[in-house]
Formats: sequence, structure tokens, C-alpha cells
Amino acid sequence: MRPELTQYELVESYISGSMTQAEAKAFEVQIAISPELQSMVEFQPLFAQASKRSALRAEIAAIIPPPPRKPWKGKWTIGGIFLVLITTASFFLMNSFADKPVTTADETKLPTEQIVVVPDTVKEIAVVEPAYLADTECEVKHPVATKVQPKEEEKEEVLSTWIPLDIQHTPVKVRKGATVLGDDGTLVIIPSDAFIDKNGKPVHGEVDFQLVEALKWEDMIAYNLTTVSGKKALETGGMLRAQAFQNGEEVQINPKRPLYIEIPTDDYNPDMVSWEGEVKDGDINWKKPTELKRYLTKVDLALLDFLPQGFDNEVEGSLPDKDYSLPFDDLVDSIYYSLSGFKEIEDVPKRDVTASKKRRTFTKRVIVEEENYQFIKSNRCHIDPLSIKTIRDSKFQETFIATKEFEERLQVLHTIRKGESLLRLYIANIDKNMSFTDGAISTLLNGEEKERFEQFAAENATNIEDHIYDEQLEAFYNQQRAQYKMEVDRIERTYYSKSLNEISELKNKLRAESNEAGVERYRPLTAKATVANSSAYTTTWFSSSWLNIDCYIHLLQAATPVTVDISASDNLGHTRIYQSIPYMNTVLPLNYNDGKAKALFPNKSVANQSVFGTVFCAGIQKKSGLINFASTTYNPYKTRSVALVWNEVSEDELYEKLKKVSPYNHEGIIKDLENDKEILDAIIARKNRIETFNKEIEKLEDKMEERNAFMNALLDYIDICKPIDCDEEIIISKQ
Amino acid sequence: MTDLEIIHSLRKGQRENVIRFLYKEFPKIEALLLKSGCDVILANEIFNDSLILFIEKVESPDFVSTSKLTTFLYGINRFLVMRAIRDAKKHKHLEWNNTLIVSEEDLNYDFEKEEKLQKIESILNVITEKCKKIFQLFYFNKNSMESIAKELGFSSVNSAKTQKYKCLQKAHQLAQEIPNPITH
Repeated sequence: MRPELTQYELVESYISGSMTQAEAKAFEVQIAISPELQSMVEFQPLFAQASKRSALRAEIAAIIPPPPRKPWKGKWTIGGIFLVLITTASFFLMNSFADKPVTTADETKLPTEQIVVVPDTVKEIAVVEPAYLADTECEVKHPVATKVQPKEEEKEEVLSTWIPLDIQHTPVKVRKGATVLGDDGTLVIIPSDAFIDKNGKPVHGEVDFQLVEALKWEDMIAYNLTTVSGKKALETGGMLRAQAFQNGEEVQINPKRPLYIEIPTDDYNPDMVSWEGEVKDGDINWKKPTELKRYLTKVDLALLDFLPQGFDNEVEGSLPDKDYSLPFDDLVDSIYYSLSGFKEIEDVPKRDVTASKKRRTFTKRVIVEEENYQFIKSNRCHIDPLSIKTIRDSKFQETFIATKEFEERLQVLHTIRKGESLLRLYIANIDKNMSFTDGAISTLLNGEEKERFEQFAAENATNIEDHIYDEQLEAFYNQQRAQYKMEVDRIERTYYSKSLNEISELKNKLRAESNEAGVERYRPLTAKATVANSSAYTTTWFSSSWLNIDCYIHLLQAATPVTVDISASDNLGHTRIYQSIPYMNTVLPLNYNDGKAKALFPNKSVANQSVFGTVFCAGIQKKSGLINFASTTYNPYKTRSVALVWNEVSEDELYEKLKKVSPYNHEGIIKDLENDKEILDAIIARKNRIETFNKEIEKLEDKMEERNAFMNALLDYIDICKPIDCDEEIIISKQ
Repeated sequence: MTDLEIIHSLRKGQRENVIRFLYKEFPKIEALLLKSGCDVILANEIFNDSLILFIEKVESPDFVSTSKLTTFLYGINRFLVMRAIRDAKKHKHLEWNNTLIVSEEDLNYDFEKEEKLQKIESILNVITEKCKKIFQLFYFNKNSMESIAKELGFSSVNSAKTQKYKCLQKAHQLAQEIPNPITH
């Protein structure tokens, strides 16, 4: 046995009392002087007890039934209390809502769409850029949008919308399948042979695949897509409908080869499930909640960013030698890996100045050349770059290491002190589901770090598995990521080449824009990330009904709710009032009766007023093509009644209006603006750093020249033959 | 099951019937825990923890019962929920009528030690299955190294021992590397 293992054995004998008295005494002396032994002596009994507990826990678990599934313990736990109260509120509202069925005669009736698309008008855009992607078969189809007023059908229960649906068409060859990327970023993978006719027979040839996305608040309101299930309120992560038609007939999706759908999200909430929409009296109700399935998708390891965030910028900003032959990315990688062995050289030991006071002492050496320099002990906390190099090895290509989910976790590990040992846990458990290690790590951390990994664990990420979407997804991810990377590089290059003044000016402009309350549209400088780069809700789907990625707002007991009366005159007959709380994505219909609606909010004593302090209410009326719109923002704790003032709008104007007043858009724009400002700041900082650096180099060069001149002068002085003489001498000697 | 039967069974290592018997109290205890501000998950965790503390305590030869054992179990749950719910205002409204008040001293409950135990338990979840099995057989089932070597197919007792100490060393290293979790 190795000596250190023998020590564990000795400690065990000591603790269990199997040593003789004399042995124990001698051993105690050793313990007293060795912190390592002390630590072992403290550890072993605890370890024995923990082992017993762990086994006992397993025994208990085998005997008594497990608790229900662990709910997400992230930042929503506090929010949950408030959310629920709204549920209670909507309970009342929906109750009376049901008493008075609304007439939908004047709204746009949308039966199951019957649209014939002229194939010529449909463009296919194949985006393939880098050479190493050329062999993939990914062809991302961008749907072509049409707004078609469809024919009415009598039997079908149809959704009453305020404006026609914005349907995105994509022609799909059934045999081949397709990858469709919606305008708002929804990814739909249609596997090969995914469609069947109403008799269950396979469909051949081409179908018109139709996608409607309602991920934005304005779409949900405009389509009258509220977020209620029975009498409960839901919080939504996005809704969509996918249908396919052949020769004007709707075809079904084969339940054995369902569509694969990803809806992008900035703020992943693991409680989300998918719901199927059921239309009743023109309104939608969500039913059949189904857990989301989260597939891990492999991505080319070369396309994953495993280095600490911003490392490449840091290299670019402070790289002393600008003449390099490697491509920049490879250079960054190789510099990063080389940091693993790098040790800074401490001050060179000073020479004995007493021996010769005239001799200069250098306090810092720049070049590594001798062995006797003392290395500073490394007190740094970071993941060993060599570990990153290891996991970049192609043998990890077929594991969960090569996924965007792992990339996300690794970026967090880079910011944690014990990142290196935690990274090893992932590698050690590479054959298990990723969520296993997520959970294990969360138990080993504290505070925000713990919370982050609890969130990861709640995502229930599995391991790489074979599924029918494998190839299409992998190709899509690779292509999108490569494209995104190029786009980011392009932006970097564009702005980097501008002068400092130009960048500052641009930044000031952004600042002014973000202070302006009415920013309507903003085109961010940064490339738009797709589901290939960001989080997404994923599910498989084979119904032609609406799909909603949604979660119940959990129910708790409420204190007496706060009521706000909303008045809006009944000018045009059919009226809807929608209530939203910007903090979460909900669109709740309020019961409207005789020009009045009531909105209920949680009692002040339990509500987080920063969440409920600003709420949003919008109303729409419609009759014979006339539309009235009204909206307002208010604080339910400061006002008891709110009046909605109608404005006449056209159909197009309604949508624009919704977009403008949307409580969510402004937030998104501000986020984009902030993000862009940060990018510009980073570029400015880098430019400044380079300038300083260049100045230093110039100084150094001057010094070097000075020194060379000095040395040359000295050489000249001791030189006894002039250069020309030396040459002659050589020639002579050769002869 | 009488108190005496519970004590005898536990000291003989026959836990299953005892656990089943005690679990009958769970619905009542759960209701109290929920009332005290726990959610369903936390209530479950607390009850499981209380079973562990209960078994550890009752198994130990110096345990002297001062009340009915089920009452003792309620007392441990009350103690644990007080620890878990930090909001002192809520404590005032804890309606645990006629419940035994169990103190830290009664349970030899050392907060720091519990934290360390919790950390080590989580480390046990990330070491290899083989290591975990060795520890379970050695510490929990109290098997000899000879029988462990046989059961797990080691070529000799010595190689089983070496493996055990290697695993112990690994766990010790992890415990030193990883900070203590905050549990309160």
C-alpha cells in the first residue's frame, strides 16, 4: 500500500480503538505535529457517519414513497406567491365570464386555413458558409409570410382574432423533411415522412407547411390568445400553430414522427410544459399539459466557446506581437493552453551590490533564460487551460461535452473558484444524464452559484441520445453557430476599425435613445442569436391545434385581493379587456360587463410592489370593420379606478399600436441598447489599452536602440580591427 | 409496535418494520409541517431527516427514552422545522399542540457537524458506485473486509483494503476542495 494510504489505515485503527495504548500514544504525538493527520482524524468519523446516513436514506427511500417532483427553486419561488393570487383573481373573473357568452360575429372568423400557395413565390434560402460545413445537409428554410383572409367553415370551432393570422408558408418535400426557422426564431424540424392523410396513409410529394408564431405580446393580444387553462392563469413562454396542407386538404402529422419544436427564450423557466389549445366560443383554452422533452444536441466542438468569456478580446487587446501566422482563433486557443504551464518570474535575485557598487541591478526580467529564478507560487483560481484542451479532443465529440448546454455550464464554471474540480465531476459522470452532475454540483455550492446549478438541474438535461432529429438538428446548430460567429466577428471588425471618437459618439447616441421613453424600433448592432446559441423550450408535437409553452401559476392562499375598477364605455358592442403584468408573460381576459371590468391584485401585505406596481391593461372593441383601441399603465396600489379612452384604429394600425404600447418590447429594446453599449465600451477599453501598450513598446524600442548604440560604441572601442579589415583577414585566411 | 419493540428492532439492525410503523405518523406530521410554512418537498425532506436522527439516536446504546417514541419523532420534526424556517415571526404561530419540545442538547445536534455531514453525503453521490458500495458494506452493514472482498470480487483482502483507502482518500480530497454548503 502507498504510504499515504497507510496513514488512512492507521487513522482508522486509532479511531476504532484497535491500537494498543502505547501505539495510540505514539500516534497522538504524530497527530499533534501533522495538520494532514489531524484533518484525517477529524474526517474519518464524520465520513463513516455520512456513509451510514447515505445508506439509511436509501433504505428509507426504498420503503416509503418519494415526494412529488421537485419544483423549480429558482428566483420564481418568491414570485410564485404573487402569481398565484392573480390566479385566484382570474378565477372570479372567468367564472362570471362564462356566464355571459360573448358574441363573435363581428370578429374575424378563422376556420382551418385553406390556402393554395403558388410555389414560384416561395423562396428557399440555403445558408452554408464555412468549408467544414459544406458536407452537412442542412438547408434552413425561411418561411414566406402571407396574410390571407380564409374562407369560413361552419362546423369548425374557430379562434376569434382581431386581425388575420400572419401565416408563414414553407414548401416541404415529405420524403426529405425540412428544417424551418420562423421569423421570431422558432425552430421546427420536420423529420422525413412526417405526414399522413386523414385515413392514416403516408402522404407523398410536397406539402405546404404553415407556421403561425405568437411569441410576442402584441401577437397574443391581436390573435386573442389569452393564457388561461380552465379557470387558472398561465404564464407563457410562447405559442404557435403548425399545420400542413396538400392540394388544399389539411394533412396530419404522423404521431410516430412528430415535429420537433424549439422556442427561443431569454429566461428559461423549467416549470414550463406544453399545452394544447382548444377553441370554444372563439376563445382559447389550454389543456393537456405535457412535460417538455429536452434533447441534447451535439455541436461541432470547434464551434463551441469553451474559453472564459471575453478571453479572445483580452488577447486581441494586449497581444504584444501583432505579426502572427496562425488564424486568430487558433492563436487565441494556443495562447490560452500555454497559460497552463506559465509561471511568472519573480524579481531576479539582486546581485551583491557591495562587490561593485557601480554594477546595475535589474529589478525585473522579461525573458526566461535561466533556471535559478524563483517561481511565484500559483495562488490563482481558474480552470486549468489544459483541462479545456482535453475536453476539446475529438473523443468528446460524441458526448454531452459537445453541446450548447455544456458550453453554458462551463461558462459558469469559469467564474467559480472550484471550477476545475467541478468540471472533473462532469467528466467523471459523462455516461450519466447531465442533470445528475448539475444536481450534485448544486449541493456543493452556496448562494447564487448554488441557485444557478439548481436551475441547470431543473432543466432535466439528459445525455446525448439517438433520435430521428439527430442529423437535422446537428446540421442546423452547426450552421447557425458558424453563421452567428461570423456575424459577431463582422460587427467587431466594423466597429473596431472606427476611431475612438466615432465609437463614443455612437455610444452617446445609444444612451440618448435608451433614455427616450418612446423608442419604437431599434436594430441592435449585435447579431440576433437563434436557438442554436441561446436557451430554448423544446418539445415534440403532432397536433394541428395551437401549442403553448406554458406553466401554471401555482396556487396558494390569498389575502383579500385589491380590486381596481376599469371603466370603458361600451361604444361598439363586443369588447375585450386584457390585463398583463410586465414582470411575467400573461395575457388574462377580464370579465367586461356594462362598460366595466374588475381587475384583482394580491393584497398589499403579501405583494412585491416592484412587481405589481406597474401593470398594463388594454382594451379592444370591434364592430363592422371599425376597431377601437385603448390602453393604460397603472399602479393597482395607488389607484382604485382606471378609465380606458377609446381611439379608432384600422386593422394595421391596431397591430402597430399594440407593438408600440407593448410592456415587453420596450424592455427588450432597453436590453439590446444596454448590450450594444457594453460592446462599444469593451471596444473603447481595448483601443485605449492598445494605445498605452504601443506607447510602452515605443519607449522600450527607444531604450533598446539607445542600449544598442551604447554597446556598439563600447564594441567599437575595444575592437582592434575595423570591419573591413576583418573581412580582408577572412579572405586571406581562406586563401 | 411498542416502544420496546422499536428499540430492540433498531438495535438488531431490523429497520424496515420500524420505518413502516413510523411512516404511519407522516400524514399528521406533514400537515403540521405544511402549517408551519414548509412546502410539500421540504416537509418530506424534514420527515426523512427526522427518521435518520431518530434511528441514530435510538440505536445508540446510551439512549434513554423519556417519552413515547412517536412523540419523540414529532419533537424531532418540530425541532427540524424550526431550524429550516428562519422567520422567527412564523415560529410564534407554530401549532404543535402537546408536542415534546426537543432541544439541541437532547439530540446532540451540532449545527456545524450537520453541515459537514451534509457535504460529505453529497460527495458520496459523486464518487464511483464501487467506492460507495464498499463504504456501505463496511460502515452501514458492518461487514468485515474479508466478506467485502469476496462480495465485490476483489482478488484479495489487501486489494479490497487498498481500494477502500483510495476511495477514502479521494473523498477526503474532495471534502477539502469543496466549500461547505449553507443550509440555514
